[in-house]
Amino acid sequence: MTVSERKKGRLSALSHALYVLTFSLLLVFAAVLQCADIEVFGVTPDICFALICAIGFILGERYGAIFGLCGGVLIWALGSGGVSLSLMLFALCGYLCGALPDVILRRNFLSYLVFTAMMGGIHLLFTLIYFIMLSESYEIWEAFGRIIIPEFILCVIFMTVAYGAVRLIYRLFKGKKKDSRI
Amino acid sequence: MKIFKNKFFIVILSCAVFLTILTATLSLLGQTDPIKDAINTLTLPFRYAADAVSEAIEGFTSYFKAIEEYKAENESLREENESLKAEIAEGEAAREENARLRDYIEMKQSYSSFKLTEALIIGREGEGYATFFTLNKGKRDGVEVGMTVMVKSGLVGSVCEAGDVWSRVRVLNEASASAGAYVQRSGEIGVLSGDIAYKGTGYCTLKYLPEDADVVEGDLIYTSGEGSVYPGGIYIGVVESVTLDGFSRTKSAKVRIAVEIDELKYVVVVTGYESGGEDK
Repeated sequence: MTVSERKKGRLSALSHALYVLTFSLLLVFAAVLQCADIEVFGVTPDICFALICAIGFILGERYGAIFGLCGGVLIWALGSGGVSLSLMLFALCGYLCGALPDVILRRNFLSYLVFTAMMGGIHLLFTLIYFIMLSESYEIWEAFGRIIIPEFILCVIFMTVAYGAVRLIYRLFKGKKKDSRI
Repeated sequence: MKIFKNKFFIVILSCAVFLTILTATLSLLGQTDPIKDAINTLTLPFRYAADAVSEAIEGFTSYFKAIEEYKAENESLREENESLKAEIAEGEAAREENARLRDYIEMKQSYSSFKLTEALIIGREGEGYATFFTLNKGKRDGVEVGMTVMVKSGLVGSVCEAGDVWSRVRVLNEASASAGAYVQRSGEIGVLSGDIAYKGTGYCTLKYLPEDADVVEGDLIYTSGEGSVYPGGIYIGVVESVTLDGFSRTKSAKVRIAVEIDELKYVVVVTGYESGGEDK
């Protein structure tokens, strides 16, 4: 290995470490923001979930799953605690967002839009399970109108926004030409 | 599928299940405080930024929330407005009824020798300008053919048909109607009748006035009591113009009747009156 190749390898490892660190900080920020109970049109958006899906799609299934686990733990710790399904949901969706594009679709923005709908659907399912577990005072159909469907829509919107942000940061560190995934 | 059968997925899934069970167990045992404290302390710097972002988002969405509030307020004001409109309409109806009853009482006082019965107009006939109308009172209420129909402002016409619970009135300006009338100022006597030429205009003609009759524009016309249909002294209208017919050597006057026929809702039927100490 020549000196020049070693230098390139070190730079690549550095940029890799930098963007992983940036995404980690972003994930912590998203978790804190989500636990601050922000409401958009009366619904709390799952910002962490959107970010994990975007990370999984752009960085791959390994990052998606690990960030998912970390995000799940963060949400559990920063939130009210208790029994949380977020950890399973985040890890699973982070993994799927990274693994599925190589199997069923290509890794581009259009296929990401398909994934936003798919992951939004999974999120909706988990919200429904969570809702049934908690058996809130709402009727199930009322809950669909007031919580579940608005959450799904917000989830899809935030996933699209998160995709833009993650892609931008990823390109800043990796450069456009070296970008093999997106 | 290959993606679910690789080592990494199994490890991750196991970790996720393990962590879920661990966090749930810790929560149930109430042992979450050390972990929560540590993570909350580490993420403290992010909270300031998160608060700022949260406030910005809330500020943005509160604008739309305000629109929802305005919509609700608008809806409530609209309902209040409808309710007030209904109250105003009720008030207006009460005011009209009050005015009508006051007119009726005043008429009873002014025409103390008349027996009066109030009736509601339930139908109108005529082309554009009603010259016949139907009342909701008939023979059962003492209404007979030939009886005078009037309102506070003046003479309306006479009953031309009467059923048990209804009657039909011929308005004064109908071509076939006629009444004995006199000029209040000079006492000149003539016959007031409807004129086909004035159909739909609210005018009548006072005919058969002598060639030298003292009639001028602005003279007030009253019923004379001649002809046994109308009692005397009921106001009819005002003279608008006078013409002399050189051939028949008589004068005739164009009279504008005082009553706005189209605006009438209620009328009073004179079911009887005293004439020179004699009941009619």
